[in-house]
Amino acid sequence: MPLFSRGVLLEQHKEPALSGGVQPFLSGMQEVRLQREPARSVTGLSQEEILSIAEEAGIIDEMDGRPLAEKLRRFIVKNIRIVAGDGIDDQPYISSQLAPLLAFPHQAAEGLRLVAKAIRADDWYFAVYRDLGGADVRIPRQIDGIRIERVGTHYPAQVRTNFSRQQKRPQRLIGVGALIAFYRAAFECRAQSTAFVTVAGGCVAQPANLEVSLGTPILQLLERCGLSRQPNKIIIGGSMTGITLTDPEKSVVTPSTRAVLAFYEDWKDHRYRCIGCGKCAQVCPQGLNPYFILRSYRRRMTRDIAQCDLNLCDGCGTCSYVCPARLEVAGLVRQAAQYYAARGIEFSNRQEPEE
Amino acid sequence: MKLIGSTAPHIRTRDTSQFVMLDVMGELLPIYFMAAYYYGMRAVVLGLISMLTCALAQGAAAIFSGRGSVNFRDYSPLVTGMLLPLMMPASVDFRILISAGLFAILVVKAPFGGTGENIFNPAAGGFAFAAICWPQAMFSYPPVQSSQPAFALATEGLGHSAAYALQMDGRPGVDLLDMLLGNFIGPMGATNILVILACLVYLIARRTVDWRLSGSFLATAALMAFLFPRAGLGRGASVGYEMMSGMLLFAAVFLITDPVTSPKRSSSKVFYGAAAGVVIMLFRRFGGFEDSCVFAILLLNAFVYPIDRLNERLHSRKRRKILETGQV
Repeated sequence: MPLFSRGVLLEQHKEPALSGGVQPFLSGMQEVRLQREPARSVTGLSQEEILSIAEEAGIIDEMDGRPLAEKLRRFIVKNIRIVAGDGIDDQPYISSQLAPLLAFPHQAAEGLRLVAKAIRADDWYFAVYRDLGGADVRIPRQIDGIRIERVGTHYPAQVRTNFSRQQKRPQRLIGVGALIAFYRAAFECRAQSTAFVTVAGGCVAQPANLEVSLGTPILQLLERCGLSRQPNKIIIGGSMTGITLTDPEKSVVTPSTRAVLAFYEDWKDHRYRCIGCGKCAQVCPQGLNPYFILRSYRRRMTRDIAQCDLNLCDGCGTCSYVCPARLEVAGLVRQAAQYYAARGIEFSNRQEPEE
Repeated sequence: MKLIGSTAPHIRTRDTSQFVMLDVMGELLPIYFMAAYYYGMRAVVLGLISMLTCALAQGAAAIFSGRGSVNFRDYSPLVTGMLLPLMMPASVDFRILISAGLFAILVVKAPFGGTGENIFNPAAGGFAFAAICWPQAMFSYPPVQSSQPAFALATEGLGHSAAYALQMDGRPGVDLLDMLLGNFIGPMGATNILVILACLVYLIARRTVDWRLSGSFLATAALMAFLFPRAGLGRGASVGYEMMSGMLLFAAVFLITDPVTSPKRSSSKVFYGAAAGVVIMLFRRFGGFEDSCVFAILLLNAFVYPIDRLNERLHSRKRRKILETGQV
């Protein structure tokens, strides 16, 4: 019996946004130019120069919202030698990394070469999700001379790419959006001023991938793509891990805004009691048992919960997805983790802090 | 625009608890159909009475427990209600059936906190109650294809089941092929071996039932029957008769797989199923009742939480080892 499950298969819903390419949706604001000469080629730049460009241009990785320069420095310290351009988009509805990768292949590839040079990587490639749910796009085998590897058919695929199984070495991902911004900073001297955002969901009339100026209100994106029906739930981020938004006029696009999703959800469906089917325990990619965690948490059985390694939960939401009782399993597990962390309960497994 | 907030994820699988229960209920319909074919309309009347009893009992329990509104949306009392008469003879007295239903909901289920909280399988508990209180009525079965009066009480011509004959250490007196086709005396719904097998395949394909649980249970029971055949039976015949007599197969599909009262992890399910298989065969051999499946299941139900807890500890150790080597 495998300790770590393969996760779940999700319906992808990536069309029609994915095959629509990337459409610009830019405010006419003046772009910030970097005070330096544009580079001619990757080989002409030294490692220090590349890192300083990343810093000056203020590039943020859209996956985790961390500055690119900081991430690269960490990789160097940690001696990471494999880097992958992240075009995975394993969450349904979202294609805001894959679409730019296909729309700006040269820029993404050069960006990845810059990153590879900066951390002195010996292997680099683009990672693309294997299950695109019958989308109309064809994924090439190579992009600008860099190979594309198809990862995982089961959600979550993104978190599993931290370790290269073939080469038995750690590897890390850099988002495609950040790579394109990196190229533009190095070769066109433009600071990062846009983000790639998928606007989709059950209530969006014309789902699309947009290149949006940073600071654009979320509501404008929804107006740009049209609403076919009044949504009662607006989400930024992924459909599996994103957060809900209650004031779309006041929220704006940031570099880590990967998607804006609008849904109408019927809340009457949401009241069942846990029947203990154990599906959550069977799908958890970290090998945890959410049923047992929640049961122990509700009864405050501290000694039992110390066995459960709550700190390993990476919040992928698979347990909530499969729950037939429609319970907020992932949310409750997080709540339990906070509850016990605040009380200083030691878990038997200490994971090393995420870099 | 009125917006609501919630925690991730924002998409859900379509299968709800209602679906899961409806799946099981839909699977019980062909069994009721076969019961009606063999025993006439009384089978349907028994089913309806039992479902009504359980639903009303659940409603009453919800009102008296002070948990607010009555919520039937998960249909679980109806499943309990449908299961109960299928384990009984078609000639069973309505009063016995109703008391079994009331016991199942009001004693086995509701006091522990209702749906999802009960330790013991309600249907098995209700049946065990009736079997202990009225063993005479519960274990004498009407002949097959005798149309039972829908409402009157039949007392004539009741016989003993194949499981009883096995218990008395003899051949069950039924042909194996007849048993496979369900053409033998026994509980109203538990004799239709082929139909129940089809249900098992469907429920496993729908992932409502974990194959590891039913599979390990049936395999262990079959292995026990093969290794320790009763006196006067060959090994092969022993496996055939033991598997098809009584409620063993019915229990493997509908009782032991109850999600509330079975362990959660696949590995625990294998262990639980195997343990249940061993216990059932021991009960059959050394126990007093001819059909002791429900007692074995009730006994095993008590150990579900310790099994889960122990397995959690094992998993914790295993995780630590994997994390220490750094290959996640």
